[in-house]
Amino acid sequence: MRILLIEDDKQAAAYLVKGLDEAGFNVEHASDGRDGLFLATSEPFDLVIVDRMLPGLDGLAIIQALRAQGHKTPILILSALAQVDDRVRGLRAGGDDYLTKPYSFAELMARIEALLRRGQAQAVVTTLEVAGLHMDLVGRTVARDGRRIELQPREFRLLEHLMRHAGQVVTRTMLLEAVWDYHFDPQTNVIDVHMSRLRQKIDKGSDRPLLHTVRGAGYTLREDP
Amino acid sequence: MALFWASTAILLGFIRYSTIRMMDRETRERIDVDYRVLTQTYRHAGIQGLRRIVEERSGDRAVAGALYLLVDTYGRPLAGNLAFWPDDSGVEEGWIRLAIQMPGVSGYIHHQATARIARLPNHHRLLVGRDIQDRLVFQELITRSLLLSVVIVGVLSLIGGVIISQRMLRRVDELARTANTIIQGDLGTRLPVQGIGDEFDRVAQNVNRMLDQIERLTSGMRTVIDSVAHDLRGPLTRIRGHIELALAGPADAVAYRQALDTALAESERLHRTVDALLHIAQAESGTLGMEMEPIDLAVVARDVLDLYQPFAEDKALRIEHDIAQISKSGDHWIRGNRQLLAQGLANLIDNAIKYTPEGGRIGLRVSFSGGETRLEVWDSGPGIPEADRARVLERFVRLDSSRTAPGSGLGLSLVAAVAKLHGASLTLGDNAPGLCVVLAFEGATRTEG
Repeated sequence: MRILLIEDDKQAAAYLVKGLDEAGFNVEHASDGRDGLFLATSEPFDLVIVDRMLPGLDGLAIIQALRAQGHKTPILILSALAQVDDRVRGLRAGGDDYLTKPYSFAELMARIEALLRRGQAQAVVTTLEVAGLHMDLVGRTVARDGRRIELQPREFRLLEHLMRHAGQVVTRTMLLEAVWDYHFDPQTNVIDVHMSRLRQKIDKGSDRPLLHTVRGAGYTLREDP
Repeated sequence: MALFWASTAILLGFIRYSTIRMMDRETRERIDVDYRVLTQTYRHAGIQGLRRIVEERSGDRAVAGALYLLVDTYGRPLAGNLAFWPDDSGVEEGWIRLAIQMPGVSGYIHHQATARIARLPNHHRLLVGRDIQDRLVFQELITRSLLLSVVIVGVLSLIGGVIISQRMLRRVDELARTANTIIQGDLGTRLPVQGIGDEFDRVAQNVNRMLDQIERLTSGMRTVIDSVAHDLRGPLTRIRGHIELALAGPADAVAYRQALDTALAESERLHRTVDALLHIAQAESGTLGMEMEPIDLAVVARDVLDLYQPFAEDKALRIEHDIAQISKSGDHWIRGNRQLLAQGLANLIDNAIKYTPEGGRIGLRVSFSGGETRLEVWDSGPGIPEADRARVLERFVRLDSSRTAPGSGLGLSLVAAVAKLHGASLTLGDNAPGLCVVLAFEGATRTEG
């Protein structure tokens, strides 16, 4: 997997390149907007990570230019601007996800993973299946190993998101965005309370837990811990 | 100025021209009437008849200024009040101008006249005219007075222009001086407004409003910087302390790990504080270009309640709300920013849950009455003493600086900022026991969308 990182902050870039490299990605780094756009248009990448504020060419301008040229590569925007509207602007320009600095590396990895998976063709599905956990999206029912599990609507949405991203790490903010469509950071970890209830319902009495907490990052739904 | 003067000159010139034309036409019409009567008489009564009537008209009872002359083939006068045919005209038929001699106080004086002449079939010639000397005098009078007016208007507008432009210069100087004071850093100064509502006043008022906004922004910024410094110093000190301790101690992986863990947790807290502060600052300053859209407050309330319900239930709190009914009514639309509204409400509910002891109750209501949409959140916690309620809404005021729960003290400030951004009033009341927070959004639209 090749990732293009367009970031002018040398320290931040070095840290990202190192981290992504250790995670097994092949990272190209451009330290200003012009180089970044040149690289993005001349070589194939699986993902572009672009800083919002860049010398030479603004991050949003790069995204608009890429999209105007028909590039469909997923784009993740990094920004030090924590303003509510800035996120909207970034996504409207053609970005696929938006992460505010400072961010944890775990959050970044989770989002990169989600974007890379999204890039793969996603057929319209009516059922989801993860290790004996079955979700019927039409009938809105969930069963584990044939045993029916009653879920509240929001628990259903949470589980649906986890199942669609089975095997990936899903962070608390990603869940808040996906299920409630809010982008703020609640002062209390309210998501944890929801997750512990969901865990109770799907993993109760099972010796093979599916819902795991990933320390310092979030949650993941998979068979093996 | 020159334009004004020129247009005045053109206007006066036009008045002169049309007056002269009108008088000229009137004279000609009178002559025409006479002329027609005389030529008709000639046709009916021949030369003798014409001679009689000309004599009659040019006699003692003649109209003042009327001129007649009938001459034979050789130019000898047959009748009329002119002594001889004006030979110099050279015109056989039609309109001519001629000079006549009139008896004056001392000798003869020259008068100008207009006349129409005609050749009669037997080589007789007829002249019908009017003395236009009076008219010419009047015409000159008009011309002279109009010229004088043009000169006077020119002089006056020049003087007026000088006065006005000096006054303008004075006001511009005044504005520039004040602007300089402001540029030099005195943001409290305002441009002088004369109160006469002229263009300068309007500009000054607008600039003053702009200065108010800038002052608000900069003072908000200053407060943010102060608060940031204050709120960040604590966690930073702790991070530094843990790292220093770990480095000073023996090279022990477990101790290092512990120090790193603490540093990570503290940096997360720092992150949250910074985020909260930025959001407050953003809402406080009413950031330009903030997207405001029609929002159903009941839906936001339902979402946030949905988010916090399990948290409240874990604390065995009873939640009083009527969200199920209100979200159906669709009566609670306001213009707002969904993210900020949700965050503000989340802070209120978060606070309510945190400060209410286990087994207590919290409540949430959205209602529409008297032209405003009200959002109420209450709890049965300790509440806020009345004396402190106003203070707690001030920016970044912490009632108790020792409270170190994450974001505490900032929660209500954000709500206050969000309320301000939405033009909503925020009141803290007594729920006896507990706190009751009311956000009232004015000018809410009833059903929309």
